[in-house]
Amino acid sequence: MDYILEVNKLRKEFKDFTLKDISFNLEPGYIMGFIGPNGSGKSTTIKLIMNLLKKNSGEIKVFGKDHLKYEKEIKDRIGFVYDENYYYEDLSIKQMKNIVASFYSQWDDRKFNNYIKEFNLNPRAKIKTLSKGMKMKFSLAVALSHNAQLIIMDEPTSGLDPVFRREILDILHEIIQDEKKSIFFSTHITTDLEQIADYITFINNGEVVFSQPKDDLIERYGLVKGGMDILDDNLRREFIGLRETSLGFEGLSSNIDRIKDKLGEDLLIEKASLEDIMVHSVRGRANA
Amino acid sequence: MLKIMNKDLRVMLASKSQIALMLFIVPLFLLIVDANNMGWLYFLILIIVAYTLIITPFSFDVSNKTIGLINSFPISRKEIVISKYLSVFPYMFISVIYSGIYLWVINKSGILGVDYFNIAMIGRACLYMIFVSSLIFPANFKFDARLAQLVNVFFYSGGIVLTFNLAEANINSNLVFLGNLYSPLTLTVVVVIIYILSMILSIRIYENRDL
Repeated sequence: MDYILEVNKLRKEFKDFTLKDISFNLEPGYIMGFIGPNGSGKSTTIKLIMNLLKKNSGEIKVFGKDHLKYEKEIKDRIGFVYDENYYYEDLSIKQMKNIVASFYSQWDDRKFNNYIKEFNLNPRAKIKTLSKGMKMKFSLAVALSHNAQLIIMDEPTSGLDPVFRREILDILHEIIQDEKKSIFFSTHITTDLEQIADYITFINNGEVVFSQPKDDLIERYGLVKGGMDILDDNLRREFIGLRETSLGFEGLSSNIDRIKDKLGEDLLIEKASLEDIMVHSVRGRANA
Repeated sequence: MLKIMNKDLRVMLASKSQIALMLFIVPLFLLIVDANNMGWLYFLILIIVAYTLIITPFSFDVSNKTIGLINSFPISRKEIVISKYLSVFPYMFISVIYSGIYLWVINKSGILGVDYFNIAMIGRACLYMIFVSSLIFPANFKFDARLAQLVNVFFYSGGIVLTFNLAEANINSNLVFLGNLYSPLTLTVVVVIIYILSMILSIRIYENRDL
Protein backbone atom coordinates (compact mmCIF):
# COMPACT_ATOMS: atom_id res chain seq x y z
CA MET A 1 0.00 0.00 0.00
CA ASP A 2 1.20 3.55 -0.74
CA TYR A 3 1.44 5.52 2.45
CA ILE A 4 1.69 9.28 2.59
CA LEU A 5 3.71 9.04 5.81
CA GLU A 6 5.74 6.05 7.03
CA VAL A 7 7.63 6.07 10.29
CA ASN A 8 9.66 2.94 10.90
CA LYS A 9 11.64 2.16 14.08
CA LEU A 10 12.36 5.82 14.65
CA ARG A 11 14.70 6.48 17.54
CA LYS A 12 15.92 9.68 19.12
CA GLU A 13 17.93 9.81 22.31
CA PHE A 14 18.17 12.80 24.62
CA LYS A 15 19.83 12.95 28.03
CA ASP A 16 16.54 12.50 29.88
CA PHE A 17 14.19 11.07 27.26
CA THR A 18 14.26 8.50 24.47
CA LEU A 19 11.88 8.03 21.60
CA LYS A 20 11.97 4.25 21.41
CA ASP A 21 11.89 2.84 17.88
CA ILE A 22 8.38 4.03 17.07
CA SER A 23 6.51 2.95 13.93
CA PHE A 24 3.24 3.98 12.30
CA ASN A 25 1.81 4.72 8.83
CA LEU A 26 -0.72 7.16 7.43
CA GLU A 27 -2.71 6.54 4.24
CA PRO A 28 -3.68 9.31 1.82
CA GLY A 29 -7.02 10.99 2.45
CA TYR A 30 -7.18 10.38 6.20
CA ILE A 31 -6.70 12.27 9.43
CA MET A 32 -4.43 10.69 11.98
CA GLY A 33 -4.61 11.94 15.54
CA PHE A 34 -1.33 11.65 17.38
CA ILE A 35 -2.18 11.59 21.05
CA GLY A 36 -0.27 11.28 24.27
CA PRO A 37 0.31 13.11 27.52
CA ASN A 38 2.68 16.07 27.75
CA GLY A 39 6.28 14.97 27.34
CA SER A 40 5.37 11.67 25.70
CA GLY A 41 7.28 12.41 22.47
CA LYS A 42 4.66 13.94 20.16
CA SER A 43 6.55 17.13 19.32
CA THR A 44 9.83 15.22 19.10
CA THR A 45 8.30 12.89 16.51
CA ILE A 46 6.93 15.79 14.48
CA LYS A 47 10.26 17.62 14.64
CA LEU A 48 11.99 14.47 13.44
CA ILE A 49 9.58 14.16 10.51
CA MET A 50 10.29 17.81 9.64
CA ASN A 51 14.05 17.22 10.07
CA LEU A 52 14.25 19.86 12.78
CA LEU A 53 15.77 17.18 14.99
CA LYS A 54 18.30 14.58 13.87
CA LYS A 55 17.26 10.97 14.34
CA ASN A 56 19.57 8.40 15.91
CA SER A 57 18.14 5.58 13.83
CA GLY A 58 15.06 4.50 11.91
CA GLU A 59 13.39 5.56 8.74
CA ILE A 60 10.93 8.27 7.78
CA LYS A 61 9.30 8.28 4.37
CA VAL A 62 6.97 11.00 3.18
CA PHE A 63 5.10 10.50 -0.11
CA GLY A 64 7.11 7.25 -0.34
CA LYS A 65 10.44 9.10 -0.34
CA ASP A 66 13.19 9.36 2.22
CA HIS A 67 12.63 12.54 4.20
CA LEU A 68 16.29 13.53 4.19
CA LYS A 69 17.24 12.65 0.63
CA TYR A 70 14.21 14.42 -0.82
CA GLU A 71 13.84 17.02 1.93
CA LYS A 72 13.14 20.05 -0.26
CA GLU A 73 10.73 18.25 -2.56
CA ILE A 74 8.88 16.81 0.42
CA LYS A 75 8.68 20.07 2.37
CA ASP A 76 7.31 21.78 -0.72
CA ARG A 77 4.26 19.51 -0.37
CA ILE A 78 3.88 19.70 3.42
CA GLY A 79 1.82 22.29 5.24
CA PHE A 80 3.29 22.64 8.70
CA VAL A 81 1.45 24.22 11.61
CA TYR A 82 3.32 24.75 14.84
CA ASP A 83 1.89 24.60 18.36
CA GLU A 84 3.22 28.09 18.98
CA ASN A 85 2.97 30.24 15.90
CA TYR A 86 6.34 31.83 15.53
CA TYR A 87 6.36 34.53 12.90
CA TYR A 88 8.11 37.87 12.63
CA GLU A 89 5.95 39.94 14.95
CA ASP A 90 6.65 43.29 13.26
CA LEU A 91 5.38 42.10 9.90
CA SER A 92 1.81 42.32 8.68
CA ILE A 93 -0.05 39.25 7.47
CA LYS A 94 0.54 40.32 3.88
CA GLN A 95 4.26 40.92 4.40
CA MET A 96 4.69 37.56 6.10
CA LYS A 97 2.73 35.89 3.33
CA ASN A 98 5.06 37.42 0.73
CA ILE A 99 8.06 35.94 2.52
CA VAL A 100 6.54 32.48 2.89
CA ALA A 101 5.18 32.45 -0.67
CA SER A 102 8.65 32.98 -2.13
CA PHE A 103 9.78 29.61 -0.77
CA TYR A 104 7.03 27.42 -2.27
CA SER A 105 6.91 26.34 -5.90
CA GLN A 106 3.12 25.99 -5.97
CA TRP A 107 2.04 28.97 -3.89
CA ASP A 108 -1.50 30.02 -4.77
CA ASP A 109 -2.22 33.66 -3.91
CA ARG A 110 -5.89 33.36 -4.82
CA LYS A 111 -6.33 30.46 -2.43
CA PHE A 112 -4.54 32.36 0.34
CA ASN A 113 -6.73 35.42 -0.15
CA ASN A 114 -9.84 33.24 -0.03
CA TYR A 115 -8.75 31.72 3.27
CA ILE A 116 -7.87 35.11 4.72
CA LYS A 117 -11.34 36.32 3.80
CA GLU A 118 -13.01 33.19 5.12
CA PHE A 119 -11.09 33.44 8.40
CA ASN A 120 -11.88 37.16 8.77
CA LEU A 121 -8.23 38.17 8.92
CA ASN A 122 -7.09 41.65 7.95
CA PRO A 123 -4.05 41.33 5.64
CA ARG A 124 -2.75 44.66 6.95
CA ALA A 125 -2.88 43.59 10.58
CA LYS A 126 0.49 43.15 12.23
CA ILE A 127 1.17 39.65 13.47
CA LYS A 128 1.87 40.93 16.98
CA THR A 129 -1.71 42.25 17.18
CA LEU A 130 -3.29 38.86 16.39
CA SER A 131 -4.79 36.66 19.09
CA LYS A 132 -3.61 33.07 19.42
CA GLY A 133 -6.66 31.83 17.56
CA MET A 134 -6.14 34.32 14.73
CA LYS A 135 -2.48 33.35 14.48
CA MET A 136 -3.54 29.73 14.21
CA LYS A 137 -5.94 30.63 11.42
CA PHE A 138 -3.16 32.52 9.64
CA SER A 139 -0.90 29.48 10.04
CA LEU A 140 -3.60 27.30 8.55
CA ALA A 141 -4.10 29.70 5.65
CA VAL A 142 -0.35 29.56 4.96
CA ALA A 143 -0.24 25.76 5.26
CA LEU A 144 -3.17 25.35 2.89
CA SER A 145 -2.14 27.80 0.18
CA HIS A 146 0.69 25.93 -1.51
CA ASN A 147 -1.18 22.79 -2.53
CA ALA A 148 0.23 20.76 0.34
CA GLN A 149 -0.85 17.14 0.32
CA LEU A 150 0.16 16.43 3.88
CA ILE A 151 -0.72 18.82 6.69
CA ILE A 152 1.33 18.27 9.85
CA MET A 153 0.04 20.04 12.92
CA ASP A 154 1.63 20.14 16.33
CA GLU A 155 -1.00 20.82 19.00
CA PRO A 156 -2.97 23.27 16.84
CA THR A 157 -5.88 23.53 19.25
CA SER A 158 -3.85 23.84 22.43
CA GLY A 159 -4.68 27.02 24.33
CA LEU A 160 -7.60 27.93 22.09
CA ASP A 161 -11.08 28.54 23.43
CA PRO A 162 -13.82 26.03 22.48
CA VAL A 163 -15.30 28.28 19.78
CA PHE A 164 -11.98 28.70 17.99
CA ARG A 165 -11.20 25.01 18.46
CA ARG A 166 -14.46 24.02 16.85
CA GLU A 167 -13.79 26.41 13.95
CA ILE A 168 -10.33 24.92 13.41
CA LEU A 169 -11.74 21.39 13.49
CA ASP A 170 -14.43 22.32 10.96
CA ILE A 171 -11.74 23.72 8.67
CA LEU A 172 -9.71 20.51 8.97
CA HIS A 173 -12.75 18.45 8.21
CA GLU A 174 -13.35 20.52 5.10
CA ILE A 175 -9.74 20.10 3.97
CA ILE A 176 -9.89 16.32 3.67
CA GLN A 177 -13.11 16.31 1.69
CA ASP A 178 -11.14 16.11 -1.57
CA GLU A 179 -9.68 12.78 -0.31
CA LYS A 180 -6.19 13.63 -1.55
CA LYS A 181 -4.89 15.48 1.46
CA SER A 182 -3.93 13.85 4.72
CA ILE A 183 -3.60 15.40 8.13
CA PHE A 184 -1.27 14.34 10.90
CA PHE A 185 -2.47 16.10 13.98
CA SER A 186 -0.88 15.91 17.43
CA THR A 187 -2.88 16.85 20.48
CA HIS A 188 -3.53 15.98 24.06
CA ILE A 189 -7.12 17.21 23.73
CA THR A 190 -8.63 13.92 22.68
CA THR A 191 -12.19 15.19 22.29
CA ASP A 192 -11.00 17.10 19.21
CA LEU A 193 -10.03 13.83 17.57
CA GLU A 194 -13.25 12.05 18.37
CA GLN A 195 -14.90 14.42 15.94
CA ILE A 196 -12.49 14.31 13.03
CA ALA A 197 -9.81 11.59 13.21
CA ASP A 198 -9.84 8.37 11.20
CA TYR A 199 -6.77 6.86 12.85
CA ILE A 200 -5.31 7.28 16.30
CA THR A 201 -1.68 6.78 17.21
CA PHE A 202 -1.13 6.85 20.93
CA ILE A 203 2.35 7.51 22.26
CA ASN A 204 3.36 7.33 25.88
CA ASN A 205 6.80 7.73 27.40
CA GLY A 206 8.45 7.56 23.97
CA GLU A 207 6.69 4.36 22.89
CA VAL A 208 3.76 3.82 20.55
CA VAL A 209 1.04 2.11 22.57
CA PHE A 210 -1.20 1.60 19.53
CA SER A 211 -1.82 2.94 16.06
CA GLN A 212 -5.27 1.92 14.84
CA PRO A 213 -8.46 3.10 13.15
CA LYS A 214 -10.45 5.19 15.63
CA ASP A 215 -13.64 3.19 15.13
CA ASP A 216 -11.83 -0.07 15.94
CA LEU A 217 -10.53 1.47 19.13
CA ILE A 218 -13.91 2.74 20.23
CA GLU A 219 -15.35 -0.69 19.41
CA ARG A 220 -12.61 -2.64 21.13
CA TYR A 221 -12.11 -0.74 24.34
CA GLY A 222 -14.70 -0.50 27.06
CA LEU A 223 -15.02 1.10 30.44
CA VAL A 224 -16.09 -1.40 33.07
CA LYS A 225 -17.67 -0.22 36.31
CA GLY A 226 -18.71 -2.23 39.31
CA GLY A 227 -18.64 -2.68 43.07
CA MET A 228 -15.48 -3.48 44.99
CA ASP A 229 -16.93 -6.81 46.13
CA ILE A 230 -16.48 -8.38 42.70
CA LEU A 231 -13.02 -6.99 42.00
CA ASP A 232 -10.69 -9.93 42.53
CA ASP A 233 -7.20 -10.62 41.15
CA ASN A 234 -8.55 -12.44 38.09
CA LEU A 235 -10.66 -9.45 37.13
CA ARG A 236 -7.85 -7.00 37.85
CA ARG A 237 -5.71 -8.75 35.28
CA GLU A 238 -8.29 -7.99 32.59
CA PHE A 239 -7.78 -4.25 32.92
CA ILE A 240 -5.28 -2.02 31.18
CA GLY A 241 -5.90 0.66 33.78
CA LEU A 242 -7.92 0.60 36.96
CA ARG A 243 -9.28 3.28 39.27
CA GLU A 244 -10.54 2.22 42.64
CA THR A 245 -12.63 4.29 45.05
CA SER A 246 -14.58 3.46 48.19
CA LEU A 247 -17.73 3.29 46.05
CA GLY A 248 -16.40 0.92 43.42
CA PHE A 249 -13.98 0.56 40.55
CA GLU A 250 -13.65 1.74 36.97
CA GLY A 251 -11.36 -0.17 34.63
CA LEU A 252 -10.42 -0.02 30.97
CA SER A 253 -10.38 -3.27 29.07
CA SER A 254 -9.61 -4.16 25.49
CA ASN A 255 -11.45 -7.46 25.85
CA ILE A 256 -14.99 -6.51 26.72
CA ASP A 257 -16.54 -9.74 25.43
CA ARG A 258 -14.55 -11.92 27.81
CA ILE A 259 -15.49 -9.74 30.78
CA LYS A 260 -19.12 -9.78 29.70
CA ASP A 261 -19.03 -13.58 29.56
CA LYS A 262 -17.50 -13.78 33.01
CA LEU A 263 -19.46 -11.20 34.97
CA GLY A 264 -21.79 -9.48 32.53
CA GLU A 265 -24.76 -9.21 34.86
CA ASP A 266 -22.92 -7.55 37.72
CA LEU A 267 -21.07 -4.93 35.72
CA LEU A 268 -21.82 -1.72 33.93
CA ILE A 269 -19.97 -1.63 30.61
CA GLU A 270 -19.72 1.65 28.69
CA LYS A 271 -17.95 2.69 25.52
CA ALA A 272 -14.59 4.21 26.33
CA SER A 273 -13.72 7.65 25.04
CA LEU A 274 -10.26 8.37 23.67
CA GLU A 275 -9.58 10.25 26.87
CA ASP A 276 -10.54 7.18 28.93
CA ILE A 277 -8.23 5.04 26.81
CA MET A 278 -5.38 7.51 27.12
CA VAL A 279 -5.75 8.17 30.86
CA HIS A 280 -6.14 4.52 31.84
CA SER A 281 -3.31 3.39 29.56
CA VAL A 282 -0.96 5.95 31.07
CA ARG A 283 -1.98 5.09 34.62
CA GLY A 284 -1.86 1.37 33.94
CA ARG A 285 1.69 1.57 32.62
CA ALA A 286 2.76 3.80 35.47
CA ASN A 287 1.44 1.23 37.97
CA ALA A 288 2.80 -1.80 36.10
CA MET B 1 19.58 31.45 -2.01
CA LEU B 2 18.16 34.90 -2.62
CA LYS B 3 15.00 33.90 -0.76
CA ILE B 4 16.75 34.01 2.60
CA MET B 5 18.24 37.43 1.90
CA ASN B 6 14.92 38.68 0.61
CA LYS B 7 13.32 37.50 3.86
CA ASP B 8 16.03 39.11 6.00
CA LEU B 9 15.77 42.45 4.22
CA ARG B 10 11.96 42.49 4.40
CA VAL B 11 12.05 41.73 8.13
CA MET B 12 14.64 44.43 8.79
CA LEU B 13 12.73 47.03 6.78
CA ALA B 14 9.53 46.23 8.69
CA SER B 15 11.13 46.94 12.04
CA LYS B 16 10.85 50.57 13.17
CA SER B 17 13.64 50.17 15.71
CA GLN B 18 15.92 48.76 13.02
CA ILE B 19 15.15 51.66 10.68
CA ALA B 20 15.80 54.13 13.52
CA LEU B 21 19.11 52.43 14.29
CA MET B 22 20.17 52.60 10.65
CA LEU B 23 19.16 56.26 10.40
CA PHE B 24 21.07 57.36 13.48
CA ILE B 25 24.08 55.10 13.35
CA VAL B 26 26.13 57.27 10.94
CA PRO B 27 25.60 60.68 12.65
CA LEU B 28 25.97 59.02 16.03
CA PHE B 29 29.47 57.80 15.26
CA LEU B 30 30.42 61.04 13.56
CA LEU B 31 29.43 62.96 16.69
CA ILE B 32 30.72 60.74 19.45
CA VAL B 33 34.06 59.65 18.08
CA ASP B 34 36.70 62.28 18.62
CA ALA B 35 38.88 60.97 15.84
CA ASN B 36 42.32 62.26 15.15
CA ASN B 37 42.43 60.04 12.12
CA MET B 38 39.21 60.32 10.09
CA GLY B 39 40.13 57.28 8.02
CA TRP B 40 39.44 55.04 11.00
CA LEU B 41 36.13 56.75 11.63
CA TYR B 42 34.88 56.10 8.09
CA PHE B 43 36.19 52.56 8.34
CA LEU B 44 34.31 52.17 11.60
CA ILE B 45 31.05 53.52 10.12
CA LEU B 46 31.36 51.22 7.15
CA ILE B 47 31.88 48.06 9.17
CA ILE B 48 29.31 48.96 11.81
CA VAL B 49 26.60 49.45 9.16
CA ALA B 50 27.60 46.19 7.42
CA TYR B 51 27.88 44.28 10.71
CA THR B 52 24.44 45.52 11.77
CA LEU B 53 22.94 44.33 8.49
CA ILE B 54 24.66 40.94 8.71
CA ILE B 55 23.90 40.16 12.31
CA THR B 56 20.40 41.62 12.75
CA PRO B 57 18.62 38.81 10.86
CA PHE B 58 20.15 36.31 13.31
CA SER B 59 18.85 38.42 16.20
CA PHE B 60 15.38 38.61 14.64
CA ASP B 61 15.28 34.84 14.25
CA VAL B 62 16.28 34.49 17.89
CA SER B 63 13.79 37.03 19.26
CA ASN B 64 10.91 35.82 17.08
CA LYS B 65 11.85 32.12 17.50
CA THR B 66 11.50 31.65 13.74
CA ILE B 67 14.35 29.16 13.20
CA GLY B 68 11.88 26.26 13.19
CA LEU B 69 9.62 28.09 10.76
CA ILE B 70 12.47 28.79 8.31
CA ASN B 71 13.60 25.19 8.48
CA SER B 72 10.10 23.93 7.72
CA PHE B 73 10.28 25.70 4.35
CA PRO B 74 11.52 23.81 1.29
CA ILE B 75 15.10 24.92 1.68
CA SER B 76 18.03 22.82 2.85
CA ARG B 77 20.16 23.72 5.82
CA LYS B 78 23.18 23.88 3.52
CA GLU B 79 21.42 26.53 1.42
CA ILE B 80 20.55 28.52 4.54
CA VAL B 81 24.20 28.56 5.62
CA ILE B 82 25.52 29.43 2.17
CA SER B 83 22.92 32.21 1.84
CA LYS B 84 24.11 33.77 5.09
CA TYR B 85 27.75 33.63 4.00
CA LEU B 86 27.02 35.06 0.56
CA SER B 87 24.87 37.80 2.07
CA VAL B 88 28.05 39.40 3.45
CA PHE B 89 28.82 40.78 -0.03
CA PRO B 90 25.50 42.49 -0.83
CA TYR B 91 25.30 43.80 2.73
CA MET B 92 28.80 45.22 2.38
CA PHE B 93 27.74 46.79 -0.91
CA ILE B 94 24.61 48.28 0.69
CA SER B 95 26.75 49.54 3.55
CA VAL B 96 29.17 51.31 1.17
CA ILE B 97 26.32 52.93 -0.81
CA TYR B 98 24.32 53.88 2.27
CA SER B 99 27.25 55.30 4.23
CA GLY B 100 28.58 57.04 1.13
CA ILE B 101 25.27 58.78 0.41
CA TYR B 102 24.84 59.66 4.08
CA LEU B 103 28.29 61.24 4.32
CA TRP B 104 27.80 63.02 1.01
CA VAL B 105 24.54 64.54 2.28
CA ILE B 106 26.22 65.60 5.54
CA ASN B 107 29.07 67.14 3.57
CA LYS B 108 26.82 68.94 1.09
CA SER B 109 24.51 70.29 3.78
CA GLY B 110 27.53 71.86 5.48
CA ILE B 111 26.73 70.29 8.86
CA LEU B 112 30.14 68.71 9.04
CA GLY B 113 33.09 68.63 6.74
CA VAL B 114 33.57 64.96 6.08
CA ASP B 115 36.00 63.36 3.77
CA TYR B 116 34.88 60.47 1.60
CA PHE B 117 36.23 57.02 1.96
CA ASN B 118 38.28 55.62 -0.85
CA ILE B 119 38.44 52.30 -2.71
CA ALA B 120 41.41 51.03 -0.69
CA MET B 121 39.54 51.60 2.54
CA ILE B 122 36.43 49.89 1.18
CA GLY B 123 38.58 46.93 0.21
CA ARG B 124 40.05 46.71 3.70
CA ALA B 125 36.61 47.00 5.28
CA CYS B 126 35.35 44.18 3.05
CA LEU B 127 38.25 41.94 4.09
CA TYR B 128 37.64 42.83 7.73
CA MET B 129 33.92 42.01 7.45
CA ILE B 130 34.57 38.71 5.66
CA PHE B 131 37.05 37.80 8.39
CA VAL B 132 34.73 38.77 11.26
CA SER B 133 31.77 37.02 9.60
CA SER B 134 33.89 33.88 9.29
CA LEU B 135 34.33 33.98 13.07
CA ILE B 136 30.79 34.80 14.12
CA PHE B 137 28.80 32.63 11.70
CA PRO B 138 29.94 29.23 13.04
CA ALA B 139 29.05 30.44 16.55
CA ASN B 140 25.59 31.49 15.38
CA PHE B 141 24.99 28.16 13.67
CA LYS B 142 26.42 26.12 16.55
CA PHE B 143 25.34 27.65 19.83
CA ASP B 144 21.92 28.19 21.30
CA ALA B 145 20.43 31.64 20.89
CA ARG B 146 21.75 33.26 24.06
CA LEU B 147 25.35 32.13 23.63
CA ALA B 148 25.33 33.12 19.94
CA GLN B 149 24.05 36.57 20.88
CA LEU B 150 26.90 36.92 23.37
CA VAL B 151 29.42 36.15 20.64
CA ASN B 152 27.79 38.74 18.38
CA VAL B 153 27.84 41.39 21.09
CA PHE B 154 31.46 40.57 21.90
CA PHE B 155 32.58 41.10 18.31
CA TYR B 156 30.29 44.10 17.84
CA SER B 157 31.43 45.98 20.92
CA GLY B 158 35.00 44.69 20.68
CA GLY B 159 35.27 45.94 17.10
CA ILE B 160 33.86 49.34 18.04
CA VAL B 161 36.18 49.78 21.04
CA LEU B 162 39.22 48.72 19.04
CA THR B 163 38.44 51.05 16.16
CA PHE B 164 37.55 53.90 18.59
CA ASN B 165 40.96 53.62 20.17
CA LEU B 166 42.75 53.41 16.85
CA ALA B 167 40.81 56.46 15.60
CA GLU B 168 41.62 58.51 18.67
CA ALA B 169 45.23 57.40 18.81
CA ASN B 170 45.77 58.68 15.27
CA ILE B 171 47.27 55.44 14.07
CA ASN B 172 47.71 55.26 10.33
CA SER B 173 44.50 53.91 8.86
CA ASN B 174 46.44 51.92 6.30
CA LEU B 175 47.60 49.66 9.10
CA VAL B 176 44.54 47.51 9.37
CA PHE B 177 45.12 44.42 11.47
CA LEU B 178 47.95 42.34 9.98
CA GLY B 179 48.01 44.77 7.09
CA ASN B 180 51.52 45.79 7.92
CA LEU B 181 52.72 42.20 8.09
CA TYR B 182 51.31 40.83 4.84
CA SER B 183 50.81 42.15 1.34
CA PRO B 184 47.21 42.96 0.39
CA LEU B 185 47.15 39.93 -1.91
CA THR B 186 48.41 37.54 0.77
CA LEU B 187 45.96 38.99 3.24
CA THR B 188 43.10 38.58 0.76
CA VAL B 189 44.05 34.96 0.09
CA VAL B 190 44.29 34.19 3.83
CA VAL B 191 40.90 35.79 4.53
CA VAL B 192 39.24 33.98 1.61
CA ILE B 193 40.63 30.64 2.83
CA ILE B 194 39.35 31.34 6.35
CA TYR B 195 35.97 32.31 4.87
CA ILE B 196 35.67 29.06 2.86
CA LEU B 197 36.80 26.89 5.79
CA SER B 198 34.37 28.69 8.05
CA MET B 199 31.53 28.10 5.57
CA ILE B 200 32.33 24.36 5.38
CA LEU B 201 32.46 24.19 9.19
CA SER B 202 29.13 26.01 9.53
CA ILE B 203 27.44 23.69 7.00
CA ARG B 204 28.64 20.64 8.95
CA ILE B 205 27.56 22.15 12.25
CA TYR B 206 24.12 23.24 11.05
CA GLU B 207 23.34 20.07 9.11
CA ASN B 208 23.90 17.96 12.21
CA ARG B 209 22.30 20.22 14.77
CA ASP B 210 19.00 19.73 16.58
CA LEU B 211 16.88 22.85 16.23
